[in-house]
Formats: sequence, structure tokens, C-alpha cells
Amino acid sequence: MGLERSDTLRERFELAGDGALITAAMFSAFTSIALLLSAPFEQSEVPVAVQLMSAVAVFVPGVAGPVVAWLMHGRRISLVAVLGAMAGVPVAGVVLLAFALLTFVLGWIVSPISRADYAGPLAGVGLLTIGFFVLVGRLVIAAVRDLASKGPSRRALAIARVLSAVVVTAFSAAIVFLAFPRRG
Amino acid sequence: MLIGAVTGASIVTAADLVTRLSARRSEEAAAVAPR
Repeated sequence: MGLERSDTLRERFELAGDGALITAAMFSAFTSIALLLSAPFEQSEVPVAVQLMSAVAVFVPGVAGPVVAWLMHGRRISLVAVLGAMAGVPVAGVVLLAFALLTFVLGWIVSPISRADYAGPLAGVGLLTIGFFVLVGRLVIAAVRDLASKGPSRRALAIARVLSAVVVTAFSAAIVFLAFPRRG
Repeated sequence: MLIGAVTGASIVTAADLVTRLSARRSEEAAAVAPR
């Protein structure tokens, strides 16, 4: 009974983690493509087609990421699941709003170190990034274990996890590299 | 990317929760239904 319960909790944790990881990876990939396409137009106005593609790049991963994670966990897309997923959108909004409020508190906490306006949001994004990559690390470890021990049923999920982890790591590294260019 | 992660996790967790609740309700309804 206890083992069954811990398996259920693990499955729930991994489903939520994969939803986060796969959506973030798709978002990173689509955003990279949109940025690369709009890069040549830095000095002039970006064409409407490229602007539309950028808008799609934000919307598509928000739908496709959770759907891919859901299907890879062997779940069926039913009317109840779709209604639940739709309820998850305002929940995400509330979570992000709570995070925005938390950054004000963090700004107050770090005020003895830095009084800059961006100190709170920077600390918040830093903590969230650390938490996200801890989650990614745990999922990748589980994926490597699955690849080493279990049958082909979890293989696709494990490969998707590793690929997604590579994409989000590369995207984050590129953003840090672009945000803090080397001087000299 | 982080907004995508929060959105993805929220959507699948809500879908999972609602699906489980619906399945439990169906099981309970089946258990009390007259045979």
C-alpha cells in the first residue's frame, strides 16, 4: 500500500516535471528560431510574417508541450482531461502573479546588498532557475536509470527528457552569453 | 522559458487532478449503484 502510494506520488511528480521540462524546451526552441529569423531586421522594421511567427512561437509550446508530456506518460486525451488542462491555465497565471509578488519581498531582503530596482526580480529569477535545473537534473537521472534498466515502454520518454534537458541548457547558456558579453 | 515551465507543469497537474477526481467519482457512483 505504502509502496503503491509512493509510486503514485513519483508518477505525479514526473508528470508535472515533464510538463514543465518539455514545454520549456519547446518554448526555448521556438523562441530561438523566432529570434534568429528576426535578427537580420535589427535596424529596420520586422515583417508582419516574422512577427506572427514570433506570436505563434509563444502560443504553440504552451499547448504542444503539455500534450506531448501527457501522451508520453501513457495518458489518454479525454474531455475531462482537456477541461482540467484548461483550468490549469489560470492556475499558472496565479502562480506567476504570486511569483511577481515574491520578487518584491526578495527585493526587500536583498536591499542591504543592492538597492537596484532589478535586484528583487533578478534574485527571484535566479532562485526559480536554480529550482528548475534541480528538477531537470532529477528527471535526467531518472531517465538514465530508465534507459539502463526498463523495457522500451519508457524509452521514448527518457530520450525526450534528455533531449529537452539539452535544449533548455543550451538556450540558458546562450541567453547568459548574450546578456553578459565578454569585454575586451 | 521559465514561464513555459510553470505553465506546462500547471496544465498537466490540473489535468491529472481533474482526471483522477473524475475517475474516483465514477468508481464511487458504481459502488453505490443498485445491482
